[in-house]
Amino acid sequence: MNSHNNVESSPPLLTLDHLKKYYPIRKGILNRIVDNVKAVDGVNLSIFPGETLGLVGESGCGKSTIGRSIVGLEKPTEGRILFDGKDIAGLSTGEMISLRSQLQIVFQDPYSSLNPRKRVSELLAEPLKVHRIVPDKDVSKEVDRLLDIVGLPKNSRNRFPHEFSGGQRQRIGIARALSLKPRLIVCDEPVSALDVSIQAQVLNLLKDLQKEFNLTYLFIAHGLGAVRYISDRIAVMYLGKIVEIGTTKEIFENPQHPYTRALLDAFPVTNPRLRNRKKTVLQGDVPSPVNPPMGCRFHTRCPQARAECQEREPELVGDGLHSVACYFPNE
Amino acid sequence: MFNYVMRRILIALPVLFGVTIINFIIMRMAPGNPVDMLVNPKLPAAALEAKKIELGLNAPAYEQYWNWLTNVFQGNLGYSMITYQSVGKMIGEHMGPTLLLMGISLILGILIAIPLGVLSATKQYSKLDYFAVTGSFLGISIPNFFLALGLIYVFSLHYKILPSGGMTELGGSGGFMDVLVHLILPVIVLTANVAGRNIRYVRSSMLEIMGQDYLRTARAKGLREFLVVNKHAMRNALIPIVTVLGMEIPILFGGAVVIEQIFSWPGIGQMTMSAILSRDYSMIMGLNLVAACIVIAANLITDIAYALVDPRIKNSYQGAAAK
Amino acid sequence: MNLDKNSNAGQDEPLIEWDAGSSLEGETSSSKLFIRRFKKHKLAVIGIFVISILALCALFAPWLVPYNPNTITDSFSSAPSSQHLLGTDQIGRDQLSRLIYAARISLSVGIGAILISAVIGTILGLVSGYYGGWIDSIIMRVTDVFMSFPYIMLILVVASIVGPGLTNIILILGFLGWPSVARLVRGNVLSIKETDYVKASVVLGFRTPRILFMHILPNTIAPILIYATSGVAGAILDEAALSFLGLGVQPPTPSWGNMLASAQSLTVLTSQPWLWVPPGVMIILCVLSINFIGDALRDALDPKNKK
Repeated sequence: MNSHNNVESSPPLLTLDHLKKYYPIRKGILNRIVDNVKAVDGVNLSIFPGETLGLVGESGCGKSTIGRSIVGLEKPTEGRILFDGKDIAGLSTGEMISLRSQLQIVFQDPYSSLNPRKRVSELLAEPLKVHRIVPDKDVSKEVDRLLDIVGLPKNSRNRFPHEFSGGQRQRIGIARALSLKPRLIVCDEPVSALDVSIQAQVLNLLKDLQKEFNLTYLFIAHGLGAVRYISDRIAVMYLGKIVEIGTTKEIFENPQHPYTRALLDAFPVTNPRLRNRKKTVLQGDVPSPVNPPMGCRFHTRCPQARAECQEREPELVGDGLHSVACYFPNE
Repeated sequence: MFNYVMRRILIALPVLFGVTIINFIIMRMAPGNPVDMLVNPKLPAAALEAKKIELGLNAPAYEQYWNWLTNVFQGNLGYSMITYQSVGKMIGEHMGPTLLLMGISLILGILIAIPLGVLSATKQYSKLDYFAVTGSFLGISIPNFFLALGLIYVFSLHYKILPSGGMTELGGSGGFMDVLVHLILPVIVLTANVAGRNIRYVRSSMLEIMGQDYLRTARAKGLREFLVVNKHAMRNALIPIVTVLGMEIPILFGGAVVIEQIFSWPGIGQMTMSAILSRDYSMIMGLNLVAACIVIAANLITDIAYALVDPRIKNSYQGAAAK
Repeated sequence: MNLDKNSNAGQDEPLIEWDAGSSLEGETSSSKLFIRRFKKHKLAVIGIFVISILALCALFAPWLVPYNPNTITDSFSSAPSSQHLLGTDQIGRDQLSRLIYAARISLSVGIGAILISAVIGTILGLVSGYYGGWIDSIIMRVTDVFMSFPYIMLILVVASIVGPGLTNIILILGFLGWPSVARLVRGNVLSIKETDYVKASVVLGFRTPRILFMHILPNTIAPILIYATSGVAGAILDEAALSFLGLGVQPPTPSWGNMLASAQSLTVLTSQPWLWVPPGVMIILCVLSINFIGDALRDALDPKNKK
């Protein structure tokens, strides 16, 4: 698949430019905004055509908010979302509709992402008809083709979502996203609700589809397992910021940020010889995204925090292969 | 808590405003003019004309509305088109009997509904449960005027043990016992309604709570069933019932109109009916406005009471105040 | 990995006993479940039976009645006899015939009024819940305003202004009954609009009316249906009360409510029970049956119910 050496060769398909998403907290008699939950607090990120960018972090770090902002489910508070060089962050719903087909999403929970009252054929045919992807007479054929692409038998078309297993439902969700022939698909933890044995099947499906249709993925996950398998590059998020980004190889073999190392250490190691190395185990809880800590956001839990870390926030620095936001990386 | 109360009042104000607007619109639809209704028709013709011009009879609707509203806020609800008396004064005089009737029925109805609902939930599918649920269905399905007629037929006409109407006997003492005897039949009708509506509500609220994990925990740790039901379940089940009280008030007002009419109970319900039959629009609108204000006030009190008994609301606002 | 292998991947998870022939199984099995749950409610089954008979009577009234309901026969206020099974009223009309015709009135008021308020309430509730913000605030405050007036009092007032009569009653009950539907639908929409399948429709670029009416509405039908059932019962009661008070359906058109109004006279109440007991019993039977059906619907459509 796309390796890191061609990552910088073409212009990015999608760029997040200082993206911020604050959720106001309203209090008091007049419902005044007293504070903000800073779910995403200034994120810069580029996704290149044909690659899979993994986005990991604990729950509540803002990774899903990024995904939802890209597909237009959230309106960013600040910053730009450049898709093919065009800012789509400020677009109204009407203007967005024409772009929808290019940006799709696969949701985490396959049980709530399919309308329980519609048959599979209706679920897949509706977007085809609304956007006139194929002529009306070919809709049925196209539905069969989509089912075939995601590995579901033709006779599933007349069934309701509740008749399928979680993995099969997720395949339907993927087929629905594919129906509009998108260029970028946000995969919002698409396998974390599935049984482990099914996860690999769905991941393989996603990989194959990427190759066949030249798709670009933003793959969101809270653990590194699935991400390592599918991603070309990985971005690690903590409290609304990206703390480290690099190729999958770099992140796994040469993690720089103490938070990334802690995440890796929480990941079970298959090689018994490596099991004895010193592990970074995180202490304490994630601070509130309402009042993130001064300086480096991670300093409250960082095993090697120093005075400097509490004063100024480190910038994300590095090259196209690997960047990190830490004053004392890899210590 | 203070914040919460203030916010509730701020929400109630536009509703009150809306009520006056709707009231005004209905009055404009009615024959006669709302501003017209504010003037005492007993005034001499010339003074009447002057007064009408002062009130802006020929002014545009919004100005008329404003004049009417300021009058209402000064306590002038207008004058009856039939008896020429002040509407506000008449409502005041008739409010007592209605509140007495509604109050007793509401309290009795709730006092029946809560224990029956709780028992029927704890003994689901028992004879008592079937009895309570069937009774509750009857309570909401029998038209109150039909029940009233049936009661009058049995107790007043057949057995002749209870009076068929009025609040006191003509020429009677007007004392406590006299009123009490006259209260029995109308109270039975309204109570049957209140209890009927609420038994099933209490029961399902209780059933839902009984299935919660924390009650299973309470049982698992060996707590006696009596304590489980009375201490743990009932407290949580009865909180939503507070809100029912707010919903009962407007329904009771409606019931009072029908029931007071049948039992010749001298309250505002009967007044409403005779005002409607004699097309006394200034009286009707005054009554409507007063009733709506009472409902708004009842809802406000209910919401505040709810916040007082539900620690979740109280705490969320205390947290906000502390911040 | 090649695509042929991938296209078989779905079969890694066994597709339980599938064959193309039983493609409607999903629908039939859920409706079977619905019927099974509904049947558990014995009183509701009786209720369905009673309402069906009443509906048939109402539909075929002209062929069923022994006399024209408005024809004045020569016996006044006569007690039930073989000629007049339920007797005759003060001006000599056959009571049974009037009772059967009145079923038409009650059922059409009940259904007509609820149809109007369900349509208004559903649209306002959908819009209010989906858009939120100031649109929601305005619609909900208006709802509050309407709910602040005691319902029966408001109906009486409006009826006295626009005048009584069958059509007016249906319109009044319909146009004043929407606030509770609106609140109910809004509450449901608030939770449904947060589901991923609605979010998915947004991402798929569907326009808002399509999302509201094709995706959210079908998922709120169950609570609306349950509410509408008890609403029909309520509207029948309201019509009866209104007609009883003389502001509803006007004689000579027979309605159970205005037939009961005759009992306001002491002679009728004491010595002619055939004039007021039967219409009262009919109202109770009808309203009780509908309420039982509503209760069974609630049991059967409640997703939390696993019986």
